[in-house]
Amino acid sequence: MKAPVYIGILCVLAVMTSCSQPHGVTENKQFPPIYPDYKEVTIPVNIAPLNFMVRRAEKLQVTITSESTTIKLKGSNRIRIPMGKWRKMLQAASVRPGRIRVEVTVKENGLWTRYAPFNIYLTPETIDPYLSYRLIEPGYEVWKSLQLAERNVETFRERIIADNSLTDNSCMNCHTYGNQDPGLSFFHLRGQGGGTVLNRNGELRKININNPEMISPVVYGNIHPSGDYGVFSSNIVLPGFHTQKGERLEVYDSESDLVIVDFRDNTVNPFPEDFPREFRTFPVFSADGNTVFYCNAQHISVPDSIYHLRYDLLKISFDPASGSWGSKVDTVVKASSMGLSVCHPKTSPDGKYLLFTMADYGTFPIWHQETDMWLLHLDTGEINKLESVNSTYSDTYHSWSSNSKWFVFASKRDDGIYGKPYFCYIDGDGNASKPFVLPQKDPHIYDNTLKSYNIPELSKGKLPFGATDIERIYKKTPAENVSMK
Amino acid sequence: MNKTYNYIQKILPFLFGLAVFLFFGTIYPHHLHYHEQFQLFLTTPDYFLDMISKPGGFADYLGTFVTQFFLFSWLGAGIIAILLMSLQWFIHSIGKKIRPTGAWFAISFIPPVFYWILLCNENFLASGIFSVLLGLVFWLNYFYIRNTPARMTFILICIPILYWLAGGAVLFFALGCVFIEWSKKGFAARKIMLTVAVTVILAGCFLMAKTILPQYPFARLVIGTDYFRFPVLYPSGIWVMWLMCLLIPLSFLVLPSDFRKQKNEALTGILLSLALVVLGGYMIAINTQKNKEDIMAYDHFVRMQQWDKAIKRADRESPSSPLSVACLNLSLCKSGMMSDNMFRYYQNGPEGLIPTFARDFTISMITGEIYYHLGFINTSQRFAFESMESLPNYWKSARSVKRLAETNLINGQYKVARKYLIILQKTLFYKKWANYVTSFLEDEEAINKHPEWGTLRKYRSKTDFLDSEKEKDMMLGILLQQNFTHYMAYEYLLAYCLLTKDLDRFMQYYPLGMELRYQHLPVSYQEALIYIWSLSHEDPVRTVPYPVSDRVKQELVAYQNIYLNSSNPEEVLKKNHSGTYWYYLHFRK
Repeated sequence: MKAPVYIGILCVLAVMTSCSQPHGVTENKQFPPIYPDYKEVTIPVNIAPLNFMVRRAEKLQVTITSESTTIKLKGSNRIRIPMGKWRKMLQAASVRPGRIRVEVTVKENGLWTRYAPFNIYLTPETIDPYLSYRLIEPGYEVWKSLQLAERNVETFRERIIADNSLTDNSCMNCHTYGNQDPGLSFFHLRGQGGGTVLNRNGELRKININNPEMISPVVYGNIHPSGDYGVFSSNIVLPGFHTQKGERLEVYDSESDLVIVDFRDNTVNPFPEDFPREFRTFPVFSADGNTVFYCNAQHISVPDSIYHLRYDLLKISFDPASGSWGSKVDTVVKASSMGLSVCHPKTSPDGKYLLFTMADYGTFPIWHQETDMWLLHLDTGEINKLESVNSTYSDTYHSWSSNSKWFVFASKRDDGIYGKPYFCYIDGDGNASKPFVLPQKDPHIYDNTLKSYNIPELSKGKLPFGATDIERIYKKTPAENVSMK
Repeated sequence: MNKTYNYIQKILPFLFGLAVFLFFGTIYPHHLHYHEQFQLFLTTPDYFLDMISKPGGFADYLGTFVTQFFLFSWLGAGIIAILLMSLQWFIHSIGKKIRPTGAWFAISFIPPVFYWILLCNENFLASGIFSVLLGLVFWLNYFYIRNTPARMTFILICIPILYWLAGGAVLFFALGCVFIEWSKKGFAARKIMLTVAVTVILAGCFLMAKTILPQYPFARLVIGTDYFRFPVLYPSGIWVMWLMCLLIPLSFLVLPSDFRKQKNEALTGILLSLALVVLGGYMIAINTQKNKEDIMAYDHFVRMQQWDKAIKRADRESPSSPLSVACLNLSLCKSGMMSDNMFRYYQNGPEGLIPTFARDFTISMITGEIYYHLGFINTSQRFAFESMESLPNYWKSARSVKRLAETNLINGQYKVARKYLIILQKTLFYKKWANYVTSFLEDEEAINKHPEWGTLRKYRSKTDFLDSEKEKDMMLGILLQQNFTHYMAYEYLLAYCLLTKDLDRFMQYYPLGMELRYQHLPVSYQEALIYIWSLSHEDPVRTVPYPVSDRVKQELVAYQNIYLNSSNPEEVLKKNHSGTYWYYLHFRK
């Protein structure tokens, strides 16, 4: 009686086994059409599994091989790599660079195709484990749902650190770290209970950095390495709407200038009056804190002359001891002479590089499809367009990892509208590798979401506050005022 | 009498259902369309998981599921009728479990009638009915458990489950069960323990939800389900509804014994039924918002490009709100009738031609339609986006996503168009359309040959400029100068000048329409031209150099006579001349 049962089970197993092996597989010498594109990218050893999908696949078989381990996976049109196996595979490369090989076999229209295997290169240099970004629909003037989120890039855990449904639906700007330190960061909350929220080791302050002598409340900014100062731009920001196909939104300043804020006594030091009235924006401190880099353009009539508005990259010295501006301004990148406009400079923590973006004109790179990333070697003054990094759509809003080996940026490369965080490795010679998108537990998420990941910023650790802390400070804490120096 | 009352009890729910069905099918059909367009139900597990990730989310899921059928108003009316009938059935069934009596039958209609009244407000959503129904389902099941410890265990287990499924409806379930337990004979200690446990579990549920979902305001987590389109507003109607679901079944407990006597039962029941019909009918009548239904109707006709239906509706009763008039004007223009006929209908200025942008989901949606048909594809895209972003409950709009896909297709932005189409392919009713549009992606020739998209490609601006709502005439002028055969741009440009009573600009732009080769000069232009001529010439009827018809000339003479000689020309002219441009020019503000 038992023998026929065993035979039956064996037959079923045999049938199942035979079904699992694709028959009549045709070879394709091209790389597989996977999304996200993780082909031939360089990744850090501490990144979460690079789950991917093949959109039109009926079935997928994937073999991931490293020197010591093999992972075999099957799926309908996506695969999810088990966290434990992935960690083990990447651990082998934590001492020296390595690579893993991925072979993808796809069943489409009933036929199996084996694509050319691709490599994923591993580097022992880790990326900062936390990433903050603002989740927002890439709209025009109206916003409803805004969230600041923090994601652990080693896992898939995402946490909401601020939500505007708890703050009277007020606008909130992107979150910015000082020194990639979770204990030093700020963002601006708008609305009646708003102000600049300054986080110092979880102790939250709300400062109304505005004064009748300033153009407006502060907008773009950066924290001094000491944590004592912030440099901000004060801008009157206006939107304009393009009518031609492909163009979308133009955001420009009708006025803008810079201020230094001393967080210790809430004093504001405006940009020296000795210089002519110009547009100044996107200030950032150098790694040593002795210089402020910023974008500067001649004051012209906007929006009439918007197509001629071009910013150069300038620098001015800063004295951390007295908190005062220097008296001399130097041009670092004369972008206007190249017919381009600089924005969003960011210095690397090791002081070697300055990463910035250039567009054809204007000051708001995210809606300029031509916006590309450039790297300035601060020691030589050499600038390189990062060809391996840039796409046909906007690539901008970058932030460095604390070891200066990685940077993250927002790229609209997938569709031109929805920005996603991409990571890029910089080797010792300043060469950039092919970037890869933030991995997700379910790779479909990028197809389904209608949110953009704005201004991604890397951090060495988890932020010491959450959404309810922000609700409390918005509703219950009165804002500190500032005075002019 | 009893026989009659038994008969009434049997047919009343069906009569009620029929009334609901007819109300939403004939009086309120466009409210249903309105609901449907401001949500996007996806047939994916991810959508389901996303919806049920918050308290009350399952009711929201069911609500959005049925709302997608509101695209077909009669189907939507049937669904609402069935849901409200179910509500009555559950209330009555629970009441009967508490104390069987026929006298109170009619009052079981109060909650569904009340919800019907709530649904007269376009911002009350179908999800709320499911939330209440789920609460009632759980409560009814409670009565089937005879064993007391098992019953108490059932209550305690169901509270967190029901809270997660239906949100705040758990309150009337929990309170209802506790009340019933207290009404039963038994140990007081056990009842006290139950009451304490229920209170603790309820509080625990709310606090746990806030801990898990700190991004939601606490009050929103208590209510859970989106009863109302504005989730930060908590209308009293929600609490009243819950209170009714609790008190009406419990009122069976306190029904005086006289009413329960067989001889009084039928009379009480019939009188209550009559009172309910009269009072309910009156309440529904005063809460019916015909003016909003009117705007929604015009919007629906524009959305479906049923221009003739919009014009027919206006022929029955001329619309007066700027949004309705804007829809009518678009319908007239698309039908080639605007320049001849627009002043036959009530006109309320340039806002009735192209309404100004507002951070509002309805205005943006309607205005976006006008920009779309004019060929301002980017502006139309912006309005579709802003409309969706303005939705207060953060839901997505099927209509907006569809328009975003279309505008990106026209603009050749195929990657992002594909993204929207992939989303629409996961819906029940837009899948076919999405598949159809997908076949056009990256096929320039096919798009250029398409009757709508190809035409709009020709109409849209070939040069870039920043649009300016304050200078709509300039925008229309730029569009027209790039394509002098773009009749809509020409007619909107001249209509804008006429509506703003800017006759100098009218005269400046009028010659731009030479290439349109009208068979006859449109009537409103004739009226404007002869009027302008009359301002500087003695005998305009004889000397006017424009091709003005004899009928218009005669009408001008008649108009002038009354205008100059009557003591109250506005009233006198209204009868026979209110459909002329002159009447608009002189008397409309």
